[in-house]
Amino acid sequence: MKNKICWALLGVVVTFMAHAGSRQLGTGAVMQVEGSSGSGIVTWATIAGYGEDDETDVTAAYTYLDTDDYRFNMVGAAIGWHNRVEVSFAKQELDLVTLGPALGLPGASLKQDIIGAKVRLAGNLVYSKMPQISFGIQHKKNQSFLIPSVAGATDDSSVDYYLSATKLFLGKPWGYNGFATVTLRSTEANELGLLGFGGDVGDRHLTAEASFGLFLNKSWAVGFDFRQKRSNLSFASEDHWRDLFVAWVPNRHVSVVAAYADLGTIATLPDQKGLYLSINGSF
Amino acid sequence: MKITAFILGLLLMGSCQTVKAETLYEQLGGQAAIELITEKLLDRILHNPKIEFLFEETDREDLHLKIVDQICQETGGPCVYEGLDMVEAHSGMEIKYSEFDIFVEDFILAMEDAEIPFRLQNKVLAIFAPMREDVTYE
Repeated sequence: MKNKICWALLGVVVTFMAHAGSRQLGTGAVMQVEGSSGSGIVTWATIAGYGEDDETDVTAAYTYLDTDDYRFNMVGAAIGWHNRVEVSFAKQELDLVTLGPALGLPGASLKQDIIGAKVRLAGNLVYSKMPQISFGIQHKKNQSFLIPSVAGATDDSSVDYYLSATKLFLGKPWGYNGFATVTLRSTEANELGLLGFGGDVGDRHLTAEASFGLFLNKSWAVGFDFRQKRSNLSFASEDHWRDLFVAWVPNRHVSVVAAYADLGTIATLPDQKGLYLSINGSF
Repeated sequence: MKITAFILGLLLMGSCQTVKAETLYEQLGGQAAIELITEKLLDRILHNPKIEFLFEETDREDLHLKIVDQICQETGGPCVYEGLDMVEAHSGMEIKYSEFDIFVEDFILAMEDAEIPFRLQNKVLAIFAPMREDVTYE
């Protein structure tokens, strides 16, 4: 009996907490690999969660990617304030499954913490003719700088700046709801910053990202991500990243993304491909 | 002569294939479907605790008529909407974006209730989405 009351109380608390904002399903996008609202590897102009201009939402996510030679995971949280400002926190870890033992460092991993901030400058994802346009920063701090410094990275922290445009197209194409994002980023990061910042062959670069897809129905979306990469380290030249994703958004509290990612060569190891999984919760 | 007949045949084939494009109104199922969507919509919005207060002064039959006429007209049907324009109709109501969202969600659910296919729902939403700034006060 006591147990039942406990569960009932918990249910009430969870229901009370679970007051997500009122924007339509899917418009909060998902947390991308650096903790910002977006898709798998691309940052979008969306503000995390479902809040309108009188609502604030909190989103949390766990992401996992396995390419055999590497295992990546991210835990992150974001606050979307009034569909205007997003503040995000992410902890990334890349297990050097193959490189670690080869370097005589079994169990070695690269770690990074990211604090992000994004502001919606203009437009509305769904309702305006123009796309939603946002400006954001991601302050990145590498927490395992020994290996990157040996590899030639010059800094253990840096800031990415990006300008992003995202639009949802109601009923287009073919009656489905299409979506598209183009993002320009200024970055010094080597492999997102997991290999530090700057290096012997470069420093700050302008890179492009894009994401396209379709909602097949209210809860299922499919899409494609592309992220241009530039190289700062002669020892670890980078390849562009791409992925194909499927997202399931059963309600405003949960979303799940599965993707097949092709990350090319990472730190000398070629053909890094694998399954990407991400689980998001919103309140 | 044969050539003339051949060309005539081609022309006929061409004109036979140019079937007049069906309006969205027709694709939805005409007046009956729009009446049904509107009934389902009113069942929802007039009893949704988050927005029902917006309709306290509203006469259901009057609102029904206006919504039907508007959907019918905007989807290419034979009706003429004779109510106030969207700015006038909602002036002084101070409708928030979040309340507009809840209306849109109820509209989507009403179309689901009326078994309107997803792709047609989106085409209808695309017509009404640009009205957000006229309806809300923000």
